[in-house]
Amino acid sequence: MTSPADSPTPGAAPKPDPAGDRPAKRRGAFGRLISDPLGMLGVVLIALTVLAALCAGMTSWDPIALNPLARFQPASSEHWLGTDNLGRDLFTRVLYGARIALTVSIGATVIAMVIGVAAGLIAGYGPRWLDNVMLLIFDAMKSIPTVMLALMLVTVTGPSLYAVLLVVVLVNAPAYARMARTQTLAIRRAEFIDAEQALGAGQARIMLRHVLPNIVGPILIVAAMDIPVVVGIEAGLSFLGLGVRPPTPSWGSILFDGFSYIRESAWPVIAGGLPIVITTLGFTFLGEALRDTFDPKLGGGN
Amino acid sequence: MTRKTTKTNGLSRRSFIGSGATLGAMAGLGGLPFASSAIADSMVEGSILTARVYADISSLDPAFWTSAVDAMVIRCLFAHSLMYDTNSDVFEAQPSAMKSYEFIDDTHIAFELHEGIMYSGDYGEMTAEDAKYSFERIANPELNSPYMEDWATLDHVEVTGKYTGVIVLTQPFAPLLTTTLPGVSGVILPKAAIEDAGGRFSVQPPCFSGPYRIKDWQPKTRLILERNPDWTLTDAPYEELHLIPIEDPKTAELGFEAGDLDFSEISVSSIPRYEANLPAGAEFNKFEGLNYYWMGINELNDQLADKNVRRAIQLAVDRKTVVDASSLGGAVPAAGIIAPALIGSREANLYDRDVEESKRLLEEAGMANSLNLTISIQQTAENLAAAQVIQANLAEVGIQVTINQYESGTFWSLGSKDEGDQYLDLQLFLMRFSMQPDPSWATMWFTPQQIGIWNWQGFDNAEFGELQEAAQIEIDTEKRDGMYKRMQDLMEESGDFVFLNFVPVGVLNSDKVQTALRPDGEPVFYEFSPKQG
Repeated sequence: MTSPADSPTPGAAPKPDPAGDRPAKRRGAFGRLISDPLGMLGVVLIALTVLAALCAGMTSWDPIALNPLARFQPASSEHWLGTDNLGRDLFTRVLYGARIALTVSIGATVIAMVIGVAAGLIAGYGPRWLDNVMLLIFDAMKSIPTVMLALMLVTVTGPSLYAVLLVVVLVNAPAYARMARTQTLAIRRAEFIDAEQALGAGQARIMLRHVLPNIVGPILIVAAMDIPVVVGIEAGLSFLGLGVRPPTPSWGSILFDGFSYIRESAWPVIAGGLPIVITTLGFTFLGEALRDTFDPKLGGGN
Repeated sequence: MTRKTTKTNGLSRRSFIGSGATLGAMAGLGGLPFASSAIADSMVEGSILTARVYADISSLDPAFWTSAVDAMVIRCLFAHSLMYDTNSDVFEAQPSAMKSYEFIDDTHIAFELHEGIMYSGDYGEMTAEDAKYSFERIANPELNSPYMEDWATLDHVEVTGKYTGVIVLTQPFAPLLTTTLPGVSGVILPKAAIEDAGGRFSVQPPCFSGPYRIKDWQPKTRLILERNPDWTLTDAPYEELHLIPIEDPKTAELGFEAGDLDFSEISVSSIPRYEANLPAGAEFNKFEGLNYYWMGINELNDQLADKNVRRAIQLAVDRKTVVDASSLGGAVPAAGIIAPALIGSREANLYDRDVEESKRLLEEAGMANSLNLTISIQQTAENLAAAQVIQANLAEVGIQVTINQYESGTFWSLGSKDEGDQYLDLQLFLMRFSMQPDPSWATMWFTPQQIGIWNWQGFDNAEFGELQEAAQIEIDTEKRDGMYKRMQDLMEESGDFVFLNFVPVGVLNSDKVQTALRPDGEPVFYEFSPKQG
């Protein structure tokens, strides 16, 4: 019999070692992660973003209160990132925008991952005909351009945070599904699966207890790398007026105001652009460090 | 330089006759720049003017054009009866294809066409028969042209010679010389060409008769016009006109400063900046525009059917702040839809901001803190700023507003009956209409017949409709002035309108280009010329 850890799958679950070893190995993985300078930088940048989201509401400014007479003020001790065309404090809006960005990027990525992995497991472990049908659906969904899909959905539902979430889920879920399916196909004939079947384990149990832990590692890495893409999608949709509705602060809408009035003041562009750069870099660095840590082909993993 | 339009005061019949006869005589003496001998050295071979237009062309048929861009292009492609003088600060019609015109009486206008205006495509020379066909075509109810009102009192055109005829009206018609003949409805096209095109056309004219003709059109990318070799009335200084559709004026401003454009209208909010700092090699002009900007309130929507609710919304809006925020101080609040340069312009609004009264009316209507509305806007920075101020104003009186942003194509279909019942769902919206220099052009879109077409408010007032008709045939300037003021009072009384501002026009051009602009800043591209030296 072969244990799940013997599977050649990249990022496979750790070997069921004696209980005392496991925490030590986890600390080791994290240690390797933060010992990577890029990984460390990623963690710091993400922490900054999370901190920003948590601190929203702690400034003395209302993110939606208008004061047109105070428009386009430069950065100062009063307004750390200046004010926009309607005199709103940009720093406060950026903090609130972090909540939207993180909600959408992490929320939508998790939902897309859960749906995609579930669908991929079923496709990979199910009968051949089901696999073919689901593969067709995944590919059909992937073929729709993101902006087109967003336009269609917004036409039906109207622009909102939920519409953005739905767009991201529909765009990303097929990719996770395809990946999960491929991983599942790779291990469905593994000996330990045969053994479980011989022992009378149900299909759901096998998928959840034995297949899923073996395929989830690389998917998590991809998810981490997807988050910056989703941050970009949310910002892009809000920039186009298809995302969260005004006056709710979003980095994309701040950027739109900044773009429109860039000749009057550069601060709105900086305020809208900088957090997008920080967050996308943070998650990208973290994702790459995770890959380096857990991908056995790169010398990581166990 | 800042040019200001001055009040035209509506031309009286006497001034029509006077100006017509005078201009006719001047043309006869060869004293006008468009005499056939005037082709001059300003035509520069190989010269190209690259100009921004705010939209792509959508229809070039004089009976069915839809945007000011269509009108600008039509002006280049077809000979018009009369044209506005681009050297004047007031709207003055001067002969063009019509060599002269004269009022015989209030309802008979004799005209004579220039000889030798040729149509391309073997459609021959322009004659009085073509004028008869063109004018009567737009007036014909069977054609259902949206510009039928331009010829509202046309009875017929009597052809008296190859180049001469008499326009016969059933009643006097005030806009005839201010907008009809100098406008697109004064374009003269040959019957055979229109019939060959199937009775109407869109963006592929069957023939050309103006200074330019279409060389190439790439939808949403560029329209290239080249000199029409058959045109002999005036110069066509540039060999080619490249018109680039750029919807976003801010993008156009960047394009201009990068040297990609020779001419562009800029956004209202950029006017203060360009007034303060002009880029090197650029010239800037500001005009008091005629176009008007307002917030519409759709009384056909169930939630807005109560007049008290609409009034409460009117009273809640801080127009000064809305206008200031959207124009960055470039515009001032308006007292109606007819600009100060025209007769019928009001001095003040009937209802100004009164938050307490607004709250009281909402309470009386049983809508205190329970009204959720949408405001639909075309996605531009200016609209978004205005909508957010309105959103905040209405929140003060307990009305929650959601902003719906649309790209232009979708936006302009929202109030159309042709698109189903969605025009009933529309609630609040921000609109900007272009305008011609006659007050009838401002009010004609709000008659009961326009509901579900351009009257998105569902404003349905019989007195307004009657006044619209009466004002068109009223020659007395003072009476006409009173009629249009009354019409705007009725609009505001209905609770359907919040008048915001007239849209000032700022234009940038390269200092190597000599522009030709109407008193409202609208470009007459075919008169643009490269500066010598």
